[in-house]
Formats: sequence, structure tokens, C-alpha cells
Amino acid sequence: MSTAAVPVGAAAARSGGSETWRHVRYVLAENPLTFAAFLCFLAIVATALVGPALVPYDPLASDTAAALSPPSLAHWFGTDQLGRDIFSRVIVATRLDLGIALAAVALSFVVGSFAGAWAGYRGGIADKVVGRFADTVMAFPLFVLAMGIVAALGNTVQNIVYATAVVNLPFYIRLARAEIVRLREAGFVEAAAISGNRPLGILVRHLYPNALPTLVVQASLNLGWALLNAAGLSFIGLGVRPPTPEWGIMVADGANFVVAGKWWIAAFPGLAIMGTALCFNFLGDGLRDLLDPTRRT
Amino acid sequence: MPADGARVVAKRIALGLANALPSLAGVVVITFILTRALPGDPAAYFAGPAATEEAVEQVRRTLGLDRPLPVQFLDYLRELARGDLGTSLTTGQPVLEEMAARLPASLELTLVALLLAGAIGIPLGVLAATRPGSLVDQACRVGTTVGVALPVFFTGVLLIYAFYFLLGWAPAPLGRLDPLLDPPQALTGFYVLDAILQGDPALAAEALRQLALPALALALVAMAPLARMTRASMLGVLGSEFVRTARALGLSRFQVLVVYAFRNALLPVLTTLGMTFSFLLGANVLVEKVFAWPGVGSYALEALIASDFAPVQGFVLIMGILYVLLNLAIDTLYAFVDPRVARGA
Amino acid sequence: MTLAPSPVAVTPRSAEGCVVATAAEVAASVPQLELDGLTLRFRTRSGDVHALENVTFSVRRGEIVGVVGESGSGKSVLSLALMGLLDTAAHIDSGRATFRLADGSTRDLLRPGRREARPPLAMIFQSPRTALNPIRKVGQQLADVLRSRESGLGAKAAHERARELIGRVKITDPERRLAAYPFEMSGGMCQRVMIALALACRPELLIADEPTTGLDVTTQAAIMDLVRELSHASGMSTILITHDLNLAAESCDRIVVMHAGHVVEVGPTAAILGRPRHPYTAKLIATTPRARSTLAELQAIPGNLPDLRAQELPPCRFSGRCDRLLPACHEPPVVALACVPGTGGGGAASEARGAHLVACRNPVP
Repeated sequence: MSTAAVPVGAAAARSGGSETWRHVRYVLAENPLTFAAFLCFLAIVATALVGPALVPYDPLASDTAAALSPPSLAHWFGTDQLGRDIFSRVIVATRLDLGIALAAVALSFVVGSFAGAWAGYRGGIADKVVGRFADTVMAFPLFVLAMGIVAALGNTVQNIVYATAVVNLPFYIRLARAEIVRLREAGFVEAAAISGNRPLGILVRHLYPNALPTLVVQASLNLGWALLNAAGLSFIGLGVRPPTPEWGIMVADGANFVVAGKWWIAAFPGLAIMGTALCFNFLGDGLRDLLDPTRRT
Repeated sequence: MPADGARVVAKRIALGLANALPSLAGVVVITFILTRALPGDPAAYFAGPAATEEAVEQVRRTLGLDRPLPVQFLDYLRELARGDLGTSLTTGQPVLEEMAARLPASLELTLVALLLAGAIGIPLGVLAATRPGSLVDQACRVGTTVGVALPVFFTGVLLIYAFYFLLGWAPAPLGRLDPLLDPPQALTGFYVLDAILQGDPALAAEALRQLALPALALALVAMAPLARMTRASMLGVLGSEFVRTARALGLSRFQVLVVYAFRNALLPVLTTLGMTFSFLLGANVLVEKVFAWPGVGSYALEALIASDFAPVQGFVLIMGILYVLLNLAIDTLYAFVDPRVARGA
Repeated sequence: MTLAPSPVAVTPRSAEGCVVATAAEVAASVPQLELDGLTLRFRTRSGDVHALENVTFSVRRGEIVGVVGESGSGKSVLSLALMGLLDTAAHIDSGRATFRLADGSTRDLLRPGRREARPPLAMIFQSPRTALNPIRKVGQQLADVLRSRESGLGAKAAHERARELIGRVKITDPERRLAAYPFEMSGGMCQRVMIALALACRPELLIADEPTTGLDVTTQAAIMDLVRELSHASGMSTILITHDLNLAAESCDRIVVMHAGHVVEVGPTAAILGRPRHPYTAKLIATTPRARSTLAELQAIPGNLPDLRAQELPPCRFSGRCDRLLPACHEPPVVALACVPGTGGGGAASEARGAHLVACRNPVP
């Protein structure tokens, strides 16, 4: 057994930051998959940010002479029925799809976790109402509910974001509530209450930050699902209208031509959806390993 | 079953119903809110995009949309009790009738997909857990990770390309049956079953051929969480103390694996089955679009695109009710399988 | 059963300083279980864990042998090795576990032949409630074991036998208990059920791994009484694994003291507890709280168990915590068990017959 002295006080505080970094490096080294996923994630974000400026063709420009041509040197992913370059469209669509997924998860996360935390902390009526709301949303098949919400609110991209956010709410509500209920029995909460903090203050400054790691892991695991949900909604024709490039409607377009053997129109946007969702999932798994204390050395 | 056991199960069902009722109420309330209380003019929705000002006003009065909201809600409840889900603008038929006619198509697809997903996913999970680190285990882990990221509509498209265009094994994705054939006499609404009951195995085979790809598309995505949960649950149980005791006592490998380990591992898998069914009810819409399947999903979808709102509302309502009832069934089943639940440990 | 030609040649590990036994004495006390030099390690991602090294002791028919030591001493690993329940990560580097059955045949428990029937051993575990199948009735679990031992046994007959076994472990109202689930029973009752399950295997040797930890004192006593009674009634021997010296003192005929995978001392209970020779045993006894100890009187053994993953483990694994350290203690080879002078016999038979052996270069005088 090592008998090295444990650093105390200021020394520990200073090494706290480097210990975190060491732990991060350990997890990344142990788990090359997480590291690869992280790089992929950076690549996707980069594509979303600068992709549109770098694409070889205008995603909206049609060239009927070259319509329905398979992948070639001129068109890496081939062209669709209007002669538009699929590669450019897939790249440009990254921004929209990523944006929808991130916005939906962010909205869901913020509203859901606060509502759940509040319900967990206050108990009583607040808990019952919020809990009942979450249960009711979960009583529906979530995609069906999302369809209904978009149908009711109107067929726009914004409403796709709202619909996806709403059907995701219960996960965050339940998780936040469970975490807060678990944490509020801790001594530091009692101490904060005794020293005169108001309930909201305790919630915001003490309880919520402690619940954050678990919630963030849930959010990262959720991103992939949110993307699939949004792509599904646009596949059936909700939200995004042609000619806007978006992976879901591109697959829908391509589906018409696959019976005739023109696979590339649907394949590449579909692979983009899958690849991005996979990347998010691996990243989420890695984050969970990182933040789960039982995996620390 | 001894009288005590029957009483326990009856109590369980009653408890489940008590839990289900608020969910059902919630479902009804939400579908109501979706149509009436959200921004926009509901009368305009129901009148349709081509309606004139007067037509919209007429619709408003007919549907009682000019009355206060609580009154509207009571009207809504009364209509539901009568089985009146409104009328489709595009077809002019009552929504409930049309949905009832198309529900068997969706159910046939969903049930076959669920069966397929379970028949492949669960044994795969068990195999992966009993042979950790092997090829099967790696394949299972990779497969489930990929499967969870698969968009179900994309799977459908890929399957069409592979099995219809490239291999020519599957028929054209034109729906439940080749348009040149007559459907069997409607006894259950399930083409395969009806054809068999009618004594026409050839027709049954045809219906099965048409079912194959859409069911496979759904099953491929549904089997991922099932296999994953089975594997995790089985691994946990195989490492548990009572399995070690069973081995120590000299029980046969089969006994230990099936009677002791698997039965215990099945419990969380049951819960996952419920979530899988919920997913399938939603994914149905996507697959019905890809394969031109005449189910409730495509019915709602066509209505949605045509801004015909009543069918969409009816669809959301019915799917919600179906799911609540399914959860009730699973809860009851759980009580059968796990005595701790039934006897309130 | 073959007789050894001469006592000196009985075993290669004739210990020094022991009084030599006659051939007759040797024959009379041929042990039921002879563990000889068992060395075992686990292969893990962070290195090999040397869980057991050169473990040697024996068990006579009908006696209760206690294996004591702190957590991590290897006691449970030893029991799992004897039962053949080890993980695939476990590798037996060397050693034999010779088991002599009642019919005279012998088996090496560490190398079970595939076509041989299971040896008549049974094991009971700690925390009996979690050791039983939670969703299967007690009666069914008993029937499962009975029917796996006797393929032609019908359901009714199995139920009858199950009821009889439940009665043997002194559980009242057997019919009701047979139809109950483990979660409906108390911890003590679950342990009785575990014992009944073990008895269904008709064991000649019972391994009890911390059977009373987690039970209240009264139940503890009752369970140990039951085990002792069953032992005497059927001539079944018992290996009692425990960290509780008081329990070992009450129930065991002989005690084996283990530390970090080594056997450090073996002998009759009275000798071990009355006059321990190994510094670790002495410390272990000193740290066991007595009824009238005050907080100030409580002692502790300094230091921790060595990290068994280390490449270079010292020949004596207690050397890091010992206050009787000599320079010789750091030198290889691994310290072997040797007779305490004047405590009888030679070699394996002597140990079984009650010799007091210690593995130390500087034993407590």
C-alpha cells in the first residue's frame, strides 16, 4: 500500500484542477472510442459552423443536365432529381440539424431540470402537478405526441424544436427530481437553511449544481435521440420545406428513387443522421464514465 | 391457482387500473388542449385551408368553438363517450370508423415486428451475457450501439434497396398485398391470419412476403434496446449471489441458466418491452410512409399534410389510450412473474 | 488405502522439530481433506493478484476447522477453489486438494474430472437472503437440488423429502415455509433453509463462509448449534470461515489462521488462542474486543494488507506490519509451516492429529 502523504489544504486545492485534468486524460486514454467520438463531435460542429462557406456547389442550385447522377469525382455524393449536389446539401444541412437537436435538448434541459428540481425540493402540490404532467406526456408514444404538437402549433421549424423539447421534458423532470430528493437530505442543505438562505437560493446555489453532472450526462445521451426525432418529423414532411437542405427531407426525397436503384440520394443524408447520432451516443457514454465517480481510479 | 394467488392478482389489476385512470384522463386532456387551447384558430383548422370566411364561421358554430373552454371540454367528453371522434375533411367519413378499419393493418405490422425483435434480440442478449468477450458478445455490443442510432425510416429505405432492388427477394413496397390480389375475408383484419383461416396458404404467404421488409425495418431498430437490456440484466444476474449458490448446490447448467438466471433477468426486460412497444407505435408512422402501408399512421399522416385535423387528433388520442392499456397489461404481467411485487415485499 | 512404508517418508514436507509418529498412528488419522501447497492467482487488467500462496492444512472426518483472518486474507477464495466455483480469471499455479470420500476413493478437488460425479461437498454463504433465488418458493428450490441429484425423483417424493429436510434444520410449520418466498422469511430462517439445501447434497464436508455474519447474536448461536449437531449426527466435517475469533473459539476443534493469502498458523483451538505463536495471531487475539474492554483498551493492527498485485511480494506478507521483524524475515524462500517444538507428530498426519504449526522465522515464544 502506498504510504505517500495526502496533500492537505492549499496544496490540495491547487492540485484539484490538475487532478481533474489527469482524470480526464485517464478516461480518454482508457477509452479511445470516447476520444474518437469527441474528435468527431468537434468535426461535426466545425462542419456546421464553416461548412456552408466551403462547399463546392450552391446547395440550392439545380443542374437538370446532371440530375440523378451517381457519385463521381465531380459530385462526391452524386446529384438528386433536380441536379443539386448532394455533398454540398449534406454539409450545409449539418447546421440546421445540429441546431434543431441542440436547441431542443437545451430547452428541454433548462425547463425540465428546473421544474423537476423545484418539484423535488418543494414537494407537496408542486411535486404532484409537475409529476402528473411528466407522467401524462410519457403516457403517449413520444413521436406521436410530437406529431400532434407540430400539427397543432403549425408546420414550422421552430415548432419542431418545441415539439421535440416537450416530449423530452419528462426525462429531465424525473431525473432532476430524483437527484434533488436524494440530495436534499444531505447535511449541507440543512446547514444552508439554518444559516438563513431562502429556499430558492438553496436550490439554485447548493442543490442544483450538485445534480448537474447526472443531468448533463442525460442531456448528452439525449442528443442522439433528439436528432432522430427531429429527422423523423421532417421525414414525414413537417417543419422543414423544400428546397431547404435538411437530412430528414433529403432521405424522404431519396426514398422515392431507391426503388429505381438510385441509392445515393437517400444514403448519404441517412448516414449523416446515423453517424451524428452514433457520435453523440458515444460521447454521452464517455461523459458518463467521466462523471461517474465509481469509475475513478 | 390457489385462491390466495387469484386474489393477489385481482388486487394488482385493480391497483393498475387506479393508476391507469389518471393517465387516461391526462391523455384526453392533452388531446383536447392540442386542438382548442393552442395558438391559431381551431375553426380554421377544422374548416380546412380552402374554406371561406363564412365557412369558417359556420364550422365554428357547428363545432361549438365559440363557446367557453370548459363547456367545450364537456362537449368533447360527451362526444368521446359516444365514440364520436369527428369527421375527416378529406374523406367525409367519421374518424373512428376509418381508424377502426385501418387499425388491424398497423397492429399486424407492430405485433410481427415486436415478435421478431424479441425472438432475435432476447436470445442474442442471453448469448452475449453467457459468453462474455466472445465474438457474439462483441457483435451484440456493436450491433446494439449502432441499432440505437439507426433512424427507422432510413433502415426501411436501405432494406428496400438491398432486398428489392439488388437481390430481388422482396416484393415492391406497395402495401399489404400485391394490387392484383384480393385481400382475404376480414375476420381478424390480420391478412396472414385471415388467409390461413380461409384456407388459402398461398395468399397468406403473399401477405407475409409484403410484411417482411417493413416488419424487419421496425424490428432491427426495436431489437437494439431489447438485446442491450437482456445482456445487461443477464450479466447482472449471472454474477449474483443466488446464481452462485445454485451452482454450488450442483444444479445443472440448464437449470442455472434458464430457471434461475433467465427468469430473474427477464424482469427489467419486461419493462423494456413496454417502452419498445411505445417506440414501435410511433415508428409505425414512418415505416407506413416508406412502404405505403395502409395503417392508422399513414391515415393520420395524409390528414396532417392536408391540414385535416380531426383524424390527427383521433390518432394521437387512440395511440395514447393504447399505450396506457399496454402498460397496464405489462404491470399485471409483472405481478405474475415477480412475487415480490404481488405480495408487496 | 495404502500404508506409508515409514513415517519419515510420509510426506516431503516433514517439518523440523516434530516428534516422529508411528505408522499406525499415521494410518488412523488419515485426513479427509488434505490441502497441499495451493497457490492461486487472478489475472486482471491491472496485473496478477496473488490471492493464495502455498496454502497447506488438512481436515479430519467429523471435525470443525475454523479458517480465520481479516478481509482480504483469501479465506473465501479458498472455499470457492475447493468448490470449483472460481472465476475464469483464476489460475491455479500449483497445489493439490486431496479429498477422501467415505467409500475410500480419492479426488483432487482442484482438478475435477468431467465424467466423475460431483464430490460430496456443500457450501453455505453469508447473507442468506440474497443467496436464495428471490422469485422461487423455498420448497421448489429444495426440490430442484433433490431432483438434480436423483434424476428419477418425482415431484411429490421431492416435496416429501424437502419437508423432511426443513424439519431437520428445526424450522417449524414446514408446509407453510415450503410455500414461502425468501423475502417472506427472517435472516435466521433463510440461513436454516440454506443449510437444508446444503444437506440435500448429502455432504461429507460442509464449507460455511461467514454463515452468521449479519445475524443477531441469539440467531448466531442457534445456527452454530444446528451446524454442530448436524456434524455430530452424520459425521460431516465442517470448514468454518469467519473473521470472528469468538465464534471460532466456541465452535471449532482446530483453527487455521490466514493472512494475505498465506497460512500463518494451524493448531488446536485451545493452543492457538491460549498460546499463539505467530505475531499476527497474537495481534488478532489482542484486538478482539472482550465484554469488559474499554475504548482505550481497544487495540489495532498497524498498517494494511500488502497489495497482492505487486510483482515482488515479500516471502512473509506480514513483514510490513510486524514488530518482531528480523533481517532473516526478508529473505526468500517463502516461510513454510513448521511444528512448534514439542507438540507432537510429524508431517501432514501430525498436523491433522492436532500438532501446532506456525510459519514464522521469529515466532512468539
